[in-house]
Amino acid sequence: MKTTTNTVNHKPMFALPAIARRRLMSVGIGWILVAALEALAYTILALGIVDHWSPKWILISAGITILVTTLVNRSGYLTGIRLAGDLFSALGQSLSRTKLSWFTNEHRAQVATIAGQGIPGLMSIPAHQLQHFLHAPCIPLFLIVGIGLIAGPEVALAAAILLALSLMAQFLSQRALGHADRKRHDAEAKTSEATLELVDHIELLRTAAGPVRAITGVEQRWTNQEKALADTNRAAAFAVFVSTLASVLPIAGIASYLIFTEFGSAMTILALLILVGRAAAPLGELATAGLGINDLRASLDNYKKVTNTPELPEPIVAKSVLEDYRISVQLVKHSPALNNIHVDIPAGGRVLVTGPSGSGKSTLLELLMRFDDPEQGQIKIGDIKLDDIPYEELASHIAYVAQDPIVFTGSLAENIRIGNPQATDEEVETIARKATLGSIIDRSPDGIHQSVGQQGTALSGGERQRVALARALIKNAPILVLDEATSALDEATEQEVINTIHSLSATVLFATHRDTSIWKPTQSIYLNS
Amino acid sequence: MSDPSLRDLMTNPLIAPSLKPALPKLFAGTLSSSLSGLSMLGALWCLVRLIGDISSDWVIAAVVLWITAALFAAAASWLAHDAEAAFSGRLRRKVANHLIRLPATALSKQSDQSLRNLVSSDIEKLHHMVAHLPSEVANFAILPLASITLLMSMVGPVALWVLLPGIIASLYYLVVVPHVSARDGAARMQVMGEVISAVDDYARGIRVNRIYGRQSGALAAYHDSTKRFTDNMVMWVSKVATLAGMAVALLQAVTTFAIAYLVSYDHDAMTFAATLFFSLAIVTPVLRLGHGLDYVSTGRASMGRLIALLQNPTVPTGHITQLNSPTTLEIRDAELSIDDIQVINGLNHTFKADALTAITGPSGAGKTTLLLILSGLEPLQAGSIQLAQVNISELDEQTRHQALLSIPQGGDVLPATVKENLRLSSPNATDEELTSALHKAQLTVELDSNAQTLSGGEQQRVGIARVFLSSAPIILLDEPTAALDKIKATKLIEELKHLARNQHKTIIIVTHDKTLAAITDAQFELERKIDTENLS
Repeated sequence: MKTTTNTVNHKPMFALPAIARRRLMSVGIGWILVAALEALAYTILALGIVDHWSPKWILISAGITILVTTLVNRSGYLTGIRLAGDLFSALGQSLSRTKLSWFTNEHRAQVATIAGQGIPGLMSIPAHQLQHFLHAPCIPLFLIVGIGLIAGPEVALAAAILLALSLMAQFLSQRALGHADRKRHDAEAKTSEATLELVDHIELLRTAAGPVRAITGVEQRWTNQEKALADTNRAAAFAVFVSTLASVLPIAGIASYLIFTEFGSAMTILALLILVGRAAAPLGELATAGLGINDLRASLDNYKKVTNTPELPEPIVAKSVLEDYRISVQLVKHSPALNNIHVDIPAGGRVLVTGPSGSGKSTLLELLMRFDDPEQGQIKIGDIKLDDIPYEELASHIAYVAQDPIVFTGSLAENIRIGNPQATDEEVETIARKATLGSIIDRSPDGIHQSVGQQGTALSGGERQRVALARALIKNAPILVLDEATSALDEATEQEVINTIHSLSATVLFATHRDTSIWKPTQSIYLNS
Repeated sequence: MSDPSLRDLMTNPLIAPSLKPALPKLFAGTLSSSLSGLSMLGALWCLVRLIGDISSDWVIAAVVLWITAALFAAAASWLAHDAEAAFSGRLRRKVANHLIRLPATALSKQSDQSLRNLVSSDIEKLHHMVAHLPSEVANFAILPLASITLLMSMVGPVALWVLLPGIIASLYYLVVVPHVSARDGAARMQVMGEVISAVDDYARGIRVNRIYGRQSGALAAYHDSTKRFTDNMVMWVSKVATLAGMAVALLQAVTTFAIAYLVSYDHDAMTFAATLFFSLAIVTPVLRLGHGLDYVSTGRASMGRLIALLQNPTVPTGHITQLNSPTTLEIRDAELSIDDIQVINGLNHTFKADALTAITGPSGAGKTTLLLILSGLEPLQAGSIQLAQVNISELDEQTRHQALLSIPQGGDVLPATVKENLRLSSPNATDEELTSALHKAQLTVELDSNAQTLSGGEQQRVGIARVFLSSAPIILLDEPTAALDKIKATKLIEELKHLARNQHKTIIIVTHDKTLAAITDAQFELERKIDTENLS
């Protein structure tokens, strides 16, 4: 069965930033050097055996090999770390250009997985994967040269054939073992799934089916999996048999070849057995590495997915918004739900965006802030299209509170001051009280300088919403976008917040699930897909 | 609590019985694994003899030994995995059977996640450890010993020098690595954790940052944190990178061969060959050390958690299987504290026979706990629940289950059809009986419809339908009307009253609805307000 990941990308390494590729290149050259030195050391050893040398050259070549191996390994470990650093850095860089509509919960979870598992997993490339993919195949290749040097091309050819056969057999048997492992894993997962069903419904099962019959259903499933597992284990045992024989094939084959062709002296035979044995040693590792390459490729592909994200172009000829904050939405169409939305909003209007869930309320609000460009139609502020305004300038006219308020680790004041970095402590406190944060300010002697905890966890959901509201209010922007911004507030607090909002001259666009009458909208946009 | 040792695997009365039937296969696996390794060594020995006496006989002998080695390796693999499967199958059944017999409070003390881990990943980790053991015994003990003995006998003590690289490397894995991870491990994890949360924070705040014009500042802060990650990690890792690199380098055969050459190049050909061939005796096990023996410690930790679970006492049962008539249900001097909070204190009550009784009371009064006690899922600390004048904890568990039907709150259903859900408690009921029971429970659905796609209220009524299928003389329902409208709730109460009277059953419901309680045959009010936050 072909997996689709193979066709996604033929050059997975190009998912990595250029600097990371350069780092990997130098460590890779190091590993090839190690393989060459190691093969040289074995060949010198073999020559020593044949010609009965004193140990001097053997010790010297071994010493050099150990030294270089140590250094390459060391740099492999450190390069792994730097590689991770490069990847983290490139991830941040690319996210900073990604269009904001991309940051859905699903994509954010992908980013978290890449950061928590993907990148740390790729740290092992320089020290381990490169060793597997470069050092392991180079050793037998270089040693075939050494064998040729000692015993001539014919023996070298015989050794090469034996090694190739062994590699192939090991690859096939390792693949069968890998297959068996996956099936074991699969059986285990299904067994666990059955067990978890028991756990999830334990109260039902023990009251309805009773202590004796509660596990009969899950037991049946366990038994099926256990039978499947027994089959897998038999197949795996056969693969172990083949793999073990394949691992000794080169040395057995060369011994037979040398005896039956009556080749050379005892010492030559010993030297050749040592060389062939060493050439065969990395084959098992190589076969496993070949199987592991798909995992590596998948990791790199996943990394590529979160670094090749959609961006919105900045305007080539930038225009500015000039004191005209009319918003016109012209025949906007955007999947999944928005279809031919056409609406004019005068400056200073209070606009309710409403409709059943899934009708695209958030999508419309987000398009107004250019989290994405609409698939069809256009949106203008005054007479200027959103995509003609540099994003930083557009952002300066908008304040925004999302349904899930983002509060950063730090103090209340720091969080609010994001809306206006020049605001004095007095201004911050005044606004905070207007956003009904008074009781929170008063409950701590630190007032507005009290900590909000890790990502705002010291605050309740409603309190976090009020912090986000205060941040939006202090920005004093001409356009205020509130997406379910009061959903976690009680009615009295909501009323108080709305009173504050009513006192503003800004255009207010809001979506809410709650009673809309207290908002006194001047205009409503009803969405219904 | 320290993790149990490997010996506990064999001796702990809770775990060992599951392992015992698998032990012969595990020992056979160990033996096969050792014989496989010894055959490999034998084949090498044939090659040594070949150097001393060039004859095809030695090659043939070597090939025969290699085939033997492969056969034993295959046998070892099969035996180990088969033994492992037998062990985990037994253990899984034991844990499941234990779980369903735990008192309700002991069960609810386990968090969902820990319970899920216990029955899935902990059992897996433990059986992986068991499956690896046979080959480890061969790798770490038998094969190195055989090689070293051979070397000693042929070359003498000077041959021990060939073990030096392996010993140095193993010191790194056994002494340096644990020391370093004890000293720096937490700090390294923290550095790693910081960069991961920096990524998360950055992606989380990106909308706010851009709308509030802070993108460049946030990106700079993010780059600072990645730089901090690289610098700190490089600092930690460079402390050990040289030693780690050296350990890997020493395990390359180059080093060992050089020493083997040095100590034996002046000896005769066979001794020389033997020293070279057998010199790698301890390199293989040390390489295994390098790959980590973490699975042993994780396996032991899992074993500890499983033992802790199995140590929880189950609901007490007896051997009485006969119940006399009438099957009156009575609470006698009942007392129960949970986490040192008195929940039930000297409670006495006899439930009215052939009638529907409502247990009422403010929330937190212990209504649900009392229902659990009555159903035998929660044992009392003092006093008893008497069913037909017999203490229910002296009843055989199946008899108790057949006499006391309890319908828990919430209306959980299995991911199966409505019919399969009902058959759970009444495996022999006909389709007509099932439909009629559903009807009495105020529910009209197809028997073949998927129970999980029903609404919450409908799912609850699938549970209630069991009441009309059961032959149990005592029926306990927790908030059965919670998801029903007024009309359906009233109808259900009438059906239950009717059932109690006509089929001589004692039916007890817990309800917080005063008006519904008023139309039952009897009320039993729990008054004392207690803190039950930890019970639900």
